[in-house]
Order: sequence, then structure tokens, then C-alpha cells
Amino acid sequence: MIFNRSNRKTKLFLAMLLTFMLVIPPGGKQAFTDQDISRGAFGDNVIELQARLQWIGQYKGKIDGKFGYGTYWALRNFQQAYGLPIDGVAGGATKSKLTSVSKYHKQFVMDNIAAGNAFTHYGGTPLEAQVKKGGGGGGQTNLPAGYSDRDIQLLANAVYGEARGEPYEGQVAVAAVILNRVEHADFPNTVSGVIFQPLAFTAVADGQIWLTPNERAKEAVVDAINGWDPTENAIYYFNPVTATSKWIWSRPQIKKIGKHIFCM
Amino acid sequence: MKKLLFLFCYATVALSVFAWSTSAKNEQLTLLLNGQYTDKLSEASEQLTELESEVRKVLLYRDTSSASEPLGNVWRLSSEMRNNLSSLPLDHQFSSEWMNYLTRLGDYADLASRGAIPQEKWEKALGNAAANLGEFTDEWSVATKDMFIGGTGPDEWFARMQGDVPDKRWADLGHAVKTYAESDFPLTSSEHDEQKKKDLKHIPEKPVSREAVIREFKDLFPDYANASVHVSESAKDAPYPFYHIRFQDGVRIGYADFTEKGGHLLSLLVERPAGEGTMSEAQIRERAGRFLEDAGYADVVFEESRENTNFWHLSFVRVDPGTGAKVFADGIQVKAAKDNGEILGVNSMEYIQKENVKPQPVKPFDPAEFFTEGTKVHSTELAYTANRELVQRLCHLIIATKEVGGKRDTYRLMIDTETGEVLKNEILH
Repeated sequence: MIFNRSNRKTKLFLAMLLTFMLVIPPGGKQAFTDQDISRGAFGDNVIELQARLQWIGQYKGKIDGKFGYGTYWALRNFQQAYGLPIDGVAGGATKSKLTSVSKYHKQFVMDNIAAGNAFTHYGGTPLEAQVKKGGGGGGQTNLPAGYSDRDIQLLANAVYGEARGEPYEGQVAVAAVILNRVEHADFPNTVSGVIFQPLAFTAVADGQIWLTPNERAKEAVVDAINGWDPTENAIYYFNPVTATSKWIWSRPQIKKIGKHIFCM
Repeated sequence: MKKLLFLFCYATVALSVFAWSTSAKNEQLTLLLNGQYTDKLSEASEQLTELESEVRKVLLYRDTSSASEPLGNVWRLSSEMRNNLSSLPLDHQFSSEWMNYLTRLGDYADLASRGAIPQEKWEKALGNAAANLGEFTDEWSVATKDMFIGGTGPDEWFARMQGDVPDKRWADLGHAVKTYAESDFPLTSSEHDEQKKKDLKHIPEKPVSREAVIREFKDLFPDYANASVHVSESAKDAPYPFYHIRFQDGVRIGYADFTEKGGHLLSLLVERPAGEGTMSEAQIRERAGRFLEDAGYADVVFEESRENTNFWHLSFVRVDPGTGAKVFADGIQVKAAKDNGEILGVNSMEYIQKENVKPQPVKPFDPAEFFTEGTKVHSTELAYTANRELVQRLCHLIIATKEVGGKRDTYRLMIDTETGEVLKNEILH
């Protein structure tokens, strides 16, 4: 009787262990999605790729989910080291090999990205020792060269503060005007310089620039940074209902989008 | 009754203390801001005097190497003055004109110091600039005098800026600076060409009708054949005439602009809810390439792609048939949805008036001689880019890497095939 109970307990333990192993995959087998990952990619797949490459010491950069040149060379080195075709693209064979030789602590990585911590994910070193509170942050958008996450943040704040009730085209237009000014000889040559020029934007004067922008405003900024300019090169805009300055009416007008008139 | 009276007195005292404290804080902030503005204004005034003196120093030398230091100072001071100026609440018109003048003066000094402008030419321009800056310094002193002697603060500065009628002194000063800029630093022919490319008013084609533009829109984007469309024309003062189409098709809302001359697509952008990404970059790229080919942009090649939460942005550039070189100034951008690859944006404004690139000698380029030891060149191709004088030059486009401090940096360089000058050098991340 006693023997039977002990045998049952052992069976129960083994069944639970098997279930645990099936349900919770070990760190090394956390799967990528089916998509090939190449330069220009952004998101969770790239985070996993960078974290795994770092685990085996191939990637020394920041784990930020942006597949730039740092990730590209690291991936090529990995492909070379493991006798894979060297193309800098994480396709099926590369992902499979990488998964088998590395580990990925998804929770650790994602938590630290969300907390804005500076961290690394090297194998052979306790993970807790690889975290520095703060100092990480950024990396929310994949941008063309020459723009920073700070620029995106400021532009999104300005767009949301100035044009959150406007159609999408109008929001892209406001971002485009700011970028046109940065390029124009008559204005400061930085995004922050343009936005904070005294009385240049109502949202700065009334504090609405500090409202938290939504995803739509951020998307409008990304489109403008990627080249879209619905204003056709405008450097000013105004709301004809609320504008008090007579001077602004003297500017050559281009088109009206939503409530704003865009002009030179 | 006594209690009520006590409460009333208590509330009155509390409110008075609050009002006093708020007003004290406001006054403190106003004084602080006034101090900051006065400091910036004072700095700008000192820099103006220094700038004038450096311009005069440049004119002393025939030897260009001796002139290089004052030329460098002119470039630096004009840049610092722009920074100061942009943070001051001064009249919009004046501020814009003065920023423009400083930019042109700084650029000119920079070009002169690099030998890109003949000496007689910069001597003449800076001679004029010295005289104009002298005159401007006097007028600036008069215009800013009362800003230094108390009684005025940020409130008054802002009130002047926002006034219905511009302050005459500043308006006159702005007008004077505009004249200086036009006389001292007229636009070069390359600057004119660049402006022309942007302006799109010199397209040598006939205007097309509103109906023709709608037809073109529906031909290019057959998915919107049943969309409800509203067409308007650009304002009469617009630098070039165009049609503005707004359309809606179910959940899709967008716009498309077409030039009036020739009916060329300037840009299209559509907003619609987007789902999770299911297509690979290669599939998206292939789809965007096919769209461009069908739309008649047959001479462009893929350059780069960038993924974001719901969309891909892809860049294509024209290839010059003569040299096989990429012309970055003639680019097209495409935006595609990650969920099904639908084309949601096209920006072909720069492609409409193609650069008139010229053939150029291609001298042998030896990376081993050009780069330091340990630099590895990964790819080389030909491409055109504008130099500082805005002239399109044929270049070796090189992607190279070098280990610096345990980190591998990736460089994208554009080196003039004839002069060997590095026109672009950026570190890619």
C-alpha cells in the first residue's frame, strides 16, 4: 500500500514535469516568427535577434529592436562562424541555428526595454548584473539617418498640441512645416530651435505642447520625416478664425487643409 | 454668525496669501525671463560688433591662408548669432530676414575659406557686407536701446510681436537686411536651379484639366476607382499650380496632389486602420517595385526600407542611363501597409523635374591609399549628390567599416570621382 502511494506520487511528479516542459519552453527555444528579418526591420523579431546574438557575444550594441548596420554585421559574423550562407538576412536556417546555440530571456529583455533601462543580455554573466536603471529609453521609431528619437518626440508633441483635431493630412502638414523650417535659411536649423522659437507655435505659448501625443500624431511625424509634404513646401500656417496678426495674411497662400491655411 | 464671519475672514486671508504668492512667483519668472532675454540680446549685440570686425579683418589679406582664421570666425559667429536670435522674441519679419542674411554670410565665408569661391568674388561680397554690417550695427543699437534700460519686459516684447501692426522700426530694419542679402549674396545659378526643381512652375508641359487629373488618379490607383473624390485647385499665390484631390473609400481617407502642368503626381497619402504585419520585407519591396513600374517609374531602383509599427517606408532612386549611377536627388518614397502590402503613400515630388546630371571623369580610386589601416570597404558604386555649391557631382558611393574603440562603425561616403573631395560622410547605425 505504502509502495503504491509512493509510486503514484512519482508518476504524478513525472506527469507534471512533462506538462511543464511542454507548456513552458526553455529560454533557448523561444521562437521567432516565420518572417525573414533583414536590414530596416523593426520590432520584437529584431529584439530577439539582437538578444540572441548578444548572448553568444556576436552583438555588442543596444538591444532596441532596430535592424541597423550593427545588427547586420553581427548577423553576418554569426553566419560565417556557423557555415551558413552569408547574406545578413535572418531566414529560416539562420534563425534555427541561432535558436539552437543561444538563449533568449524575453521577459527580462522586454521588461528592461519597457522600463527604459540600459541593459545587456550576454551569456555567462548573471542577468541581474547586466542592468543599469535608466539610461536606456528611446528606440520607439525606425528613422532615416539624421533624425533622433528626441526629434520625433518633440515633433509629435508639437503636432498633437497644434493639430490633434485636424485630418491626418493636416497633421502630416504641420510636421512638414516644422521640417521645412529646419531646412530654410530664415529659421533655426534644429527641430527644437524651430519649435521653441518665441511665439512661433501657439501650442508652445499655451503649454499644449506638453500633452501626451497619440499614435496618430507620431505616425504623421514619421510620414513627414520620410518625405511627405502635403503643404507643397509651406513654411507658415495659421487658423484664419483665430489668427490675430495681420502680417500672416500677407504671406502667399498655398492651400487649406482642415482649419489651417498653409503659406510661404 | 461669528463662525461665518471667521470663515469669511479666513478664506479672504488665505486667498490673499495665495494671490500674493502667485503674483510674486510670476514676477520672479518674468524677471528671470527678462534677464535671459536681455543677456541673449546683449550677447547678440556684442557678436554683431565682433562679426563686423572679423569681416573687415578678412578684407586685409591677399594671402588666403591668412584669411582663413577670420573667415572661420565669420562662419562661427554667424552661426552663434543665429542661435541667439532664434531664442529672442523679435519681430517675425526682421528675425527671418536677419537669420537668412547670417546663413548666407556664414555659408559664403565657409565656401571662401575652402577656396570654392574666387578671391575677387568674396572680396567684393564681404566688402559690401562690411559696409552694410556697419550701418546695420547703428540701427540695431537704436532699435534695441529701450530693451536695455528697464521698463520693458517679456510682456512688452511679446505684445509688440503680436501687435496688429508691425513695429515700424523693426519692419524697416527687416526691409534693410533683405536688401543687404539680395545685394551682398545673390543666389548662384546652382541655387536658382535647385529652387526651380523645387518650384515646379517651369515644367515645360501644358496644363491639364481637372477631369484629366481625376482620370490619372484613378488610372494610377485603380483601388480607388469607386472612391468619392473632391478636387480643389491651389491658391492663386502658390509657387506652382496644382490640383488637390481629397478622397474617401470606405475606411480609407486620403489626398493626392497633382501638378497642373503635365498632371504629374506630387504625393499621395492614405489613412486607414492597419493590422498586424504578415508580409515579409521582400514581399513588400516586390509589391512596391511592381507598383512603381506599373505607374511608369521604370528607371528607379530600390535603395532602402524602414519598418515601423504598422507600415513600411521604402525609398527608390532614379538611375542615370548614361553612367548607371544613382541620382539621390530624384527619389521616390513609398509607404506600404504591413498587413497586406497595400500602397498607402507615394511621394514623387523630387522625381518630376529630373536633375540634369553631367558626365564626369572617373579617376582611379585606391581605397588602400585613401583610408587608414583597418578600414574595410564593403561596397562601391557610382551615385550623384550635390556638393556645397549645390552642383550635382558624380561620386564613388562607398560603404566601409572600421573598428574604433572595440566598436565597428559603418561609414557611408560619397567621394567626388574627379576631385577626390569627400562630399558626404555619415556614420550609419
